[in-house]
Amino acid sequence: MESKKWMRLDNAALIYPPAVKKKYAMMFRLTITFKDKIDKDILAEALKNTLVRLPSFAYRLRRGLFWYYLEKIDGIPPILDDVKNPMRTINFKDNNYFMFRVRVYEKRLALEFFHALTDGTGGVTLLLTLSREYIRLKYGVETPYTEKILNLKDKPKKEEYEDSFKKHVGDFGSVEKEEAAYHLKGKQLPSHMLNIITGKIKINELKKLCQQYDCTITVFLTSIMFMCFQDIQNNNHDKKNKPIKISIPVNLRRFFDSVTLRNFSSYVNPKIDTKLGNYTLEEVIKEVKGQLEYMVNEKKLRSKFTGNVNMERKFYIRIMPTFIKMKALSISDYLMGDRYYTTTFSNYGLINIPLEMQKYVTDMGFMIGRSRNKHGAVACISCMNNLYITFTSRIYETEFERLFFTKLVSLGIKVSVESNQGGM
Amino acid sequence: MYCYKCGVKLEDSENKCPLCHTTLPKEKNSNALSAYSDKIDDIGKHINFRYITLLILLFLFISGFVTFLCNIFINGKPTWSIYVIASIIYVATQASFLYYKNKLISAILNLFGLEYLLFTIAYMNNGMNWYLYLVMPNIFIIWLLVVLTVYLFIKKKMRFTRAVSTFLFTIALILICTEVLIDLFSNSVVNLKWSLYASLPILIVCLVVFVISFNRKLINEIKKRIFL
Repeated sequence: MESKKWMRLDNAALIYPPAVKKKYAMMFRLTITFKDKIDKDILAEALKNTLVRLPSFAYRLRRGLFWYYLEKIDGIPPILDDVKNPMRTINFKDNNYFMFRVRVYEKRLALEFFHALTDGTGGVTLLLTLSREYIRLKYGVETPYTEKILNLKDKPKKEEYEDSFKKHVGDFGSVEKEEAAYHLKGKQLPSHMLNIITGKIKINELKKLCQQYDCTITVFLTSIMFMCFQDIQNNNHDKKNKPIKISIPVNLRRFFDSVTLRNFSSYVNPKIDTKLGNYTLEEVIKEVKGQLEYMVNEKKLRSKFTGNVNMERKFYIRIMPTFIKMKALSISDYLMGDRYYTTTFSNYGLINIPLEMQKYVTDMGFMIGRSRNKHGAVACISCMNNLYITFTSRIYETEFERLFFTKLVSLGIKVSVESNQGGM
Repeated sequence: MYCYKCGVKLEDSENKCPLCHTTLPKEKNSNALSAYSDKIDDIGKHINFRYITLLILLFLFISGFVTFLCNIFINGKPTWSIYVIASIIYVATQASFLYYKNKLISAILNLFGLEYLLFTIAYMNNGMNWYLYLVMPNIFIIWLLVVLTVYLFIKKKMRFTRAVSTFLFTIALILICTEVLIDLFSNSVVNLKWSLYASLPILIVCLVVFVISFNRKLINEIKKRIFL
């Protein structure tokens, strides 16, 4: 299929461009570590081949009279050296106008995406397809294709570009009112810095523990986080007038038939209200599990994004010129974007890396960029029997991270950590 | 290596616990790379010239408007404030060099700004004859020559010597054009005098520099002898 010359932003992507500031943009980063040092020339070649199959990533952001839109571009983004403070706002001009960055550090390849372009699923597809092509070019080894590793000989499909929100929109939409959430306070890092701490956990050990508590990994880890926030509130004698809420992105492809590589995710915000009293871990798990069951189902999710799509389709919003609309969205994002949750916890889940490819790959990583108003975010990805959970934060204090990992250790789970503070 | 406070295992790249910041003794033979590069992505301090330009212009236009109102209240009709407003418009066209990335737009705006300022002065003093036949064409010719020279400098990426000779040539041309226009305005007969005295030496120097610019050896020799 001939790729489209231009396309509209999908419904979820609309909020990201107006919120971009020099110090903040909604970014996320996916990494893969190979066993050997990366050859940049081969990587550039692999990237060139991959973008032919995945043209939905070769788009630039442009401003129209009424909306932002995406315009097709050629070439590849520059391959940059990795840095200590990743996921800064992309200077599109320096990046050949691409909306994702490619960074290399020794054996590690990192892709940093601007969220308006794609979500985690699209990002993982690009990363894995690129890695397979890189391995093919470097070692001459053909490894199998999976759902996330696409065959470069195939033609790009129309469904991979589609705005699935519009396709699956329902008749009735409602945007539920949320209440403001507790926020962690701390001394702010310089605006260009980011604290990154990654913990590596054996997935089997965690699974056993989850079986004991009869819950999923996402529920378990979220509950531990709730416990940490509760401890911090108690230790610091913080006011408990606002509930602790954690925003969990939900991949809508699980509920609706879609293979799109653009945004197709929603979120739910489970909460615990500590002013009612202190919760135990079992109680939190029960609470979170129940809330997720209540919120994460096809009907509820559809009504949520239908509300957003209906809003976008309103006549008076459509005819508003871009600069007014975007200013309004930017202000509303500033005031309300991070107001309704304490932190974000995005669990990508298990990535299936074929055995043949595992010979060349050691680990993967996933992290979310600097937040605008909340202290930080947590992201998690699992592959090859390991779970990598990465905390990014914009404050000096690492109390939340410390409590989280020590709680896991006290439950008998081995954790190994690394950070971007090493060697300092 | 384990942190004895937190109980977590630290990767080889860590020399202190990132969770509780306890410094741990570095293990021997650990030449592990740090987990992240030492490079820091810093965009530095960019000055937003467009914003500053707009801010300055806003203040200028507000003050221009206030001047205009004062003039109306005092004299009953706009008199001296017209000069102020014309000057502000001229400054605005100058400021467009900071605003536009495409400098040609600013150059064209600048031409109009200057012509407009002088037009206002001429109009207010009944000097339209002087303006139309002398000032307007002269300014246009000088502007054209300057723009062409700057365009050549930028596009051709000239060597220093050739750039100097082009610059001198432009000055000589400007002088000659100015005298031609003045002569046409006053006597309707072109009789070159002072501009020749001025431009001939300039043209000679220009020619010498131009010839030298082809001779790399000579340039090096001169550099060697007269370097500071």
